[in-house]
Amino acid sequence: MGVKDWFRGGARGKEQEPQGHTIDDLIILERYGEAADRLRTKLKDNPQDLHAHLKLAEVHTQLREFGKAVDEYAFVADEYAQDGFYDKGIALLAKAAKLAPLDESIRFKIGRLQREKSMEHLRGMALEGLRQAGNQQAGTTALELQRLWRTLAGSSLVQRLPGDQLKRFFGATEFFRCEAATVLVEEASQEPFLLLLVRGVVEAFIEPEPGKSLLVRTFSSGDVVGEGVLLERGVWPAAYRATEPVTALKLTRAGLEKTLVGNPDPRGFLDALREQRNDRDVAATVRRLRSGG
Amino acid sequence: MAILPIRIYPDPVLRVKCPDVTEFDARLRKLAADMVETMHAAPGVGLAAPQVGVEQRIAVVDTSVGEDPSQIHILINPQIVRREGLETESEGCLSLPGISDKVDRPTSITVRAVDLEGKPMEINAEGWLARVVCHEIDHLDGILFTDHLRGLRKERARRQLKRLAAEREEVTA
Repeated sequence: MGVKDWFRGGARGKEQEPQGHTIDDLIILERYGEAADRLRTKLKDNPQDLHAHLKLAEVHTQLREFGKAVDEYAFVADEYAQDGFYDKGIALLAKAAKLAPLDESIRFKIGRLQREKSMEHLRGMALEGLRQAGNQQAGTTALELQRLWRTLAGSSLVQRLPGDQLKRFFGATEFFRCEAATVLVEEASQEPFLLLLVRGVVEAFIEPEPGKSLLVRTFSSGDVVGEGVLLERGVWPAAYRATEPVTALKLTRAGLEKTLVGNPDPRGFLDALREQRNDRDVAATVRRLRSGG
Repeated sequence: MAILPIRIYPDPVLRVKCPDVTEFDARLRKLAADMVETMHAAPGVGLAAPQVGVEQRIAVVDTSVGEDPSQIHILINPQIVRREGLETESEGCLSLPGISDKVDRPTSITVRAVDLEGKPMEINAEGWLARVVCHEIDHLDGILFTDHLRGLRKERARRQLKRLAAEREEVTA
């Protein structure tokens, strides 16, 4: 009689866990069916156990159930991405793509995560810049900066500028706030500044006759006004006023100079601002209105 | 005294969460003596009961590997009640021949256990001794040192375990 037999019958607490191989052992021993069953049971208790999902993907792969493996990898990749681990998510999807090379949806998902990753990088840089801008004004909390970023993320200027340039741009701006009906600038003024609208609506208007106001165009969140005046030293093509309370980032000439000092790509930065073309569009509309066109 | 056969991975007994020892009799003393002899013969610095096929919470430790009898510790129903610090060192295991890797363990621990008569005792262990004691107590909970590995180390250990399991299968066949 072996030593083991003395104790096998010994008292065992009711709290004892199931005995035998672990899931890892079952995988090592290539008992994949049993491993899959154990993993599925584990996932019933805790559906968010990402390690279990990954192991299940591995087991499905070994069982040549590639469709199921891809589903597991895609699930975990999404979860990783939601927590900001884009590279991990992309790596898992790349694994899934090897299992299902004809599945277009995986390539689409990889592309989506790559875009989200690049936006995340941009966000970090942008928030740093916004923080610098916010430091100049009391009461700009981290939460408010996050909100500002969410509002600005869709702006064509933000999407056009690389992260480091965005940080420079935001860092050189100052917060500008005004109430509804405030006239921001008069027509033909040479005051050199640019506004990136965060919240509120601004309208460009002209007064063809005294007391008669003619709306040229409205601008809202994400739009840029004043780029022509600031960059080309022109004049404001119309008067601009807030039609509701406005929050904007204001770039003055001093701020512009700050963005260009030590800038590795000043031309690229200026081109991105010029491409906004809003001042030119307003000027063209004003010319057409004045000529009766 | 006798040298007991050491259970090798993937023997399921290595995954057993062992129940406490409740009977402190001559058989327990013989088992402890056999475990010490088995550990010295291996040679090893620690041995837990599941490694000789016994599902009870008993482990023996001797970092002198038989050189200094005062360093032999017989731990029955041990529990770690204090852990401090963290250090990473290489470990091996008599049940996982040929496999070793670096594992994080506390640098200093306090263990409460009972002796062969069932009398409570406390041991403060540091460094290598603390590592060995943690390793053996893990065995009593069905945990192998490879379970603590992560990432590439885990992958490498899995390959090694697979090879070991295949070898064992050949031996059994």
